Amino acid sequence: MQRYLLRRIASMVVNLFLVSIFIFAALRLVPQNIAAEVLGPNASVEQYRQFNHVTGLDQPALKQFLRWGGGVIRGDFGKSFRTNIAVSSEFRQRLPVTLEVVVLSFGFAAVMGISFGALSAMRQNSPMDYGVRLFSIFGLSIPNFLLLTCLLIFPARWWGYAPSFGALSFFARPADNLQLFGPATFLLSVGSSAILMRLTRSAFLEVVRQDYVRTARAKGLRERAVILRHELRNALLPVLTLMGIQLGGLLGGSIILEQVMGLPGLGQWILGAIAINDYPVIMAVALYSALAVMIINLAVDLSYAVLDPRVRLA
Amino acid sequence: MTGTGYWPATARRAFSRRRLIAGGAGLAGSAALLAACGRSGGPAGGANPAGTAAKSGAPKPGGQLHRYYNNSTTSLSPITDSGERLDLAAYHAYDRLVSNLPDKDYVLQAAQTVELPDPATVIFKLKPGMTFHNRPPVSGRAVTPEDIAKSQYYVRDNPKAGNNSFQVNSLQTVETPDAQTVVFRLKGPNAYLFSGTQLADPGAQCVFPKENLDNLETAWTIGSGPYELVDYQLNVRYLYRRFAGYHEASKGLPYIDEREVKVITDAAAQESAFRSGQVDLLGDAGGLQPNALADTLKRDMGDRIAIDQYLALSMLSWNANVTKPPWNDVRIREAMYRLINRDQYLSLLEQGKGKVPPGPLPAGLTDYQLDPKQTDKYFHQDAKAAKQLLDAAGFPYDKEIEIITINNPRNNQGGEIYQQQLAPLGVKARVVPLGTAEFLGQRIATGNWETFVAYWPGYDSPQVPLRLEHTVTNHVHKYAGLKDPTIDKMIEKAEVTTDKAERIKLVKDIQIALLERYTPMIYLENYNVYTARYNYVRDYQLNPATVAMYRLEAWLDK
Repeated sequence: MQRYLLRRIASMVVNLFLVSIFIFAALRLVPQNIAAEVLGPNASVEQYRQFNHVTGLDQPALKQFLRWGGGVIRGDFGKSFRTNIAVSSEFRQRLPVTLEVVVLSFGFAAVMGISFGALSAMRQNSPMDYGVRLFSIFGLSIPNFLLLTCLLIFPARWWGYAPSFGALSFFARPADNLQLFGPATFLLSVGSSAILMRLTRSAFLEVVRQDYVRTARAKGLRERAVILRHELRNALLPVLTLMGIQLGGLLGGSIILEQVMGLPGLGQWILGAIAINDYPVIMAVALYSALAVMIINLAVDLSYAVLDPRVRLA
Repeated sequence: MTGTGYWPATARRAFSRRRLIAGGAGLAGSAALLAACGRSGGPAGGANPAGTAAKSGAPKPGGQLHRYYNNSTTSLSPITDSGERLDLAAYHAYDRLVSNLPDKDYVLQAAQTVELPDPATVIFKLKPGMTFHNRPPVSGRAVTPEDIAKSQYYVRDNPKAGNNSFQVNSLQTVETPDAQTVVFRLKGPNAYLFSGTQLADPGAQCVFPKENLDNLETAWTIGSGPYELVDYQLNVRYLYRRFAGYHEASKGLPYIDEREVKVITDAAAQESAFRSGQVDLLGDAGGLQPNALADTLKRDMGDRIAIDQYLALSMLSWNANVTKPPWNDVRIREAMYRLINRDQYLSLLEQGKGKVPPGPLPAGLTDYQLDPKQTDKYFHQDAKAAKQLLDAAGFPYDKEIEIITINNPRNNQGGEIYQQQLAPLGVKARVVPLGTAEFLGQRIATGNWETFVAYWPGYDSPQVPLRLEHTVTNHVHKYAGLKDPTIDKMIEKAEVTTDKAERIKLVKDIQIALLERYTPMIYLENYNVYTARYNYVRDYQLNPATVAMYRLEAWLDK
């Protein structure tokens, strides 16, 4: 296991390096006058030159990359072209907001998706089964930005209710924080949970017909033990793979929620950065996203070994 | 229940004692959750006076006003960040020498008096005893003329300044002869000296403490204005508290103790914040979108709210680039005047709520308006005449006209209306929506555009709208206007004519001259702006030019 982990970490480093080269090159392939976008078109040529010199944009691309890479190794991701604030400092402020969005929506999706999917499979062809399947089609069909807008408009018009805008630290005011994040992340999770429901249901249906499940019941095991120890554990393998992919997707989905709800997270940050080619910010957030996806995939792979003793990580 | 089969078995399971207890607990939990999430429909702060407007009376001090700002903010500098400039810090924490209001030439703020001994000299005497907010490194010291002088030079030299046209084009030097006097030496007479882009500019004329000039973007906001910044989270929330040392504090101003501003960029979120009472005003930065929302709000919320209305100084315009053929041909431009139906823009975009200006100035600049009878002949539609003009000029019908817009629904729709108006004549056109940075930085600033349809910011004087017709626009829109030397001279003369009556006449002559030459800027419409507020917000006067709804005299009747 240790060797496996070391190999995976080494491959993550290589992948991050390749991702950084790709993003760096892609950004510079698009011709842009960043100095004009940041300083405005009224600045003088000398001021543009000064800006390019200070930011290193007048250097050859390779030198820029090496300078940036050297900074990253030291933990310095540079300063935002627009705000002149250290990227790492602003990243640390914004990360908790995005993490909370992702964790909550993932949590909702996982709980709803797996539990309703399992129930639906266990009560196949019952009204509950039909209800869950109908809900999953609904969840797959409705775009989450529409759901978010409905969350804002209809409760406000009918009951005068709205989430408490202005992101609050969970530790400072947990109730207000959850009032803002809770309903919105729940709606954001609807699409993901719909997919999970369907996959969990079909995985369960496959598992419940297996001989070992019949044997487990024949042995006299309680129904709860049959479900948790035998059915769920085996049905979860394909579901976990999908959850890993969805978690990566939720990183992107959080952008919409952050924009609509005015949350100062990474998604909102990178949207603004892309508009003016704020390279340091784009690179930092892109690297973070790549790293997050790799860590999630590693966690999924490790969980296979936990769930299925036949899987040996070597 | 007896019997085998799915449904009887289901019924037995459904009504088991265990399930009933679990179901009841679930219902109780859901009810508790709904109660926690739910909120009264009333405004923030509790009780709302039901229905009727409060009787006018003496302003009540106290309370907290809740507002929102509708765009992202990136720093704390009112020079470079539009949010801070047009709303947040500029209007709460900072002071200016003067400001203006629609019915006044200027309003004294930090200045106790202002004199113009000659057209190129402005002498301000500062109000005695003015201090900055008590926070390091400024620590409540007195405001000095040196702060004002350094602020002016800082704005002049800052390339990222949102507006430094006064400092760059008009201001020569700032002198500080004594502890209470500031003298602005101008390069020449400035006819629009007290307008919203000059001495009354909310951001560019802020009085900054010299200690903070090097890091306005990140340093805690410290000014001498009526409110102190007491708490903030950048791009999320700003809390301002009444400054006890403000120079009008002895008169009880400002009345409202605290002002909280949240950054809410999404229109649906803004509406829901207003309806739920989290904010006391809606649409106070540009108006309700769409303006039909005013009727919906009034219907739904009744007498709890008031809807205010004014004619925007912002206008929608069609522009062509005269440095590119065929737009340098006056026949082509005249053909556009025969073709473009301006009423259609007002009808389709604003549901008819607004005004079509009679000439090439916003309709809200009432002193400078031409008589529609004078200008009808330039704007009358005649498709046949348009076709003849295009044919005579050899218009390339095989070429597709590019109409660029700043990508948002209203702008894009404006472009599409123009596209539709061209179609009957066989003129092909395509609408190209662009992001703001690309629109301004890559197209407008470089001249790489053919035509565009866009809303302009509101200006409270003809200075900028007419400058845009000048060969040297002093603006990012370098290729906007007619580029005619005769027009240039007329505009330059108007800019230095300080006598108002004479200037009005000159400006009207300029407008006629522009129309005779079929200027490539056609002002299509000025729209009505609607804003909503809860009735307890009193004396909240609107200022169309600068948009921000700040008034010291506002108070809360609750």
